[in-house]
Amino acid sequence: MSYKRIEEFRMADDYETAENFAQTRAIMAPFLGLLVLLMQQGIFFSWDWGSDSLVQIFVWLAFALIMLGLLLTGGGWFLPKRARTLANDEVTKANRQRGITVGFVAAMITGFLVWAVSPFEPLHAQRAANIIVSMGLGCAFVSYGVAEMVTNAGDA
Amino acid sequence: MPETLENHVRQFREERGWTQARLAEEMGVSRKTVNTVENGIFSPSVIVALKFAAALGQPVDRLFELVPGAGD
Repeated sequence: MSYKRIEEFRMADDYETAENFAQTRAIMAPFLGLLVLLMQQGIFFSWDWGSDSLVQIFVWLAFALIMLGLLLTGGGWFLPKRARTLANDEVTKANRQRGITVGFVAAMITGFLVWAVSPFEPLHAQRAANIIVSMGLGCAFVSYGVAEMVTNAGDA
Repeated sequence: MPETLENHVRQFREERGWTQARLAEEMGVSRKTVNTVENGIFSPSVIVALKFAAALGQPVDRLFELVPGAGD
């Protein structure tokens, strides 16, 4: 098989890989957002807020950082470079930007509410940060995923 | 009313007998980009507009045109 033919197959593979990845990501993103929001509710009541447990601090930080990394980069970290570029096309970047904007506004509004409520219902700083970060990330993922699903649905 | 961007990408693509996937491969972009631009969901950057023009062998202003909004 000639080098040119192999190169054509590889390129076709990249297109298919990128499209499959983009479709999976579009389905996963809103669920990831809901997971973040549900986990916020779950750990809100069960965690020992203010604990100096390094495990608890590390787990929360690692989860938040991974979620933020996924949101900012679009994931696909282990895909071939070309497939990753195709999966993160202009449309996806615009959708992601919209998601980030929605997440930022959600985090701001949540911050305002936490500030307004805190004189009456004092919150530990960790608890307040958890509410704000979760609302921001959760809403961003839901918005991003819904926009991706809408733009992915199209005729071939 | 603001102008809207209309395009004739589908017409020139179909003249060539190409699918969206084929055009996307010719341009080096995803099929989603072709689909969303064709359907007017997404306004492409200058770079992508030039890629459309190069792949379809048409000047950019034949592929895309600004249409005045109602009331203009």
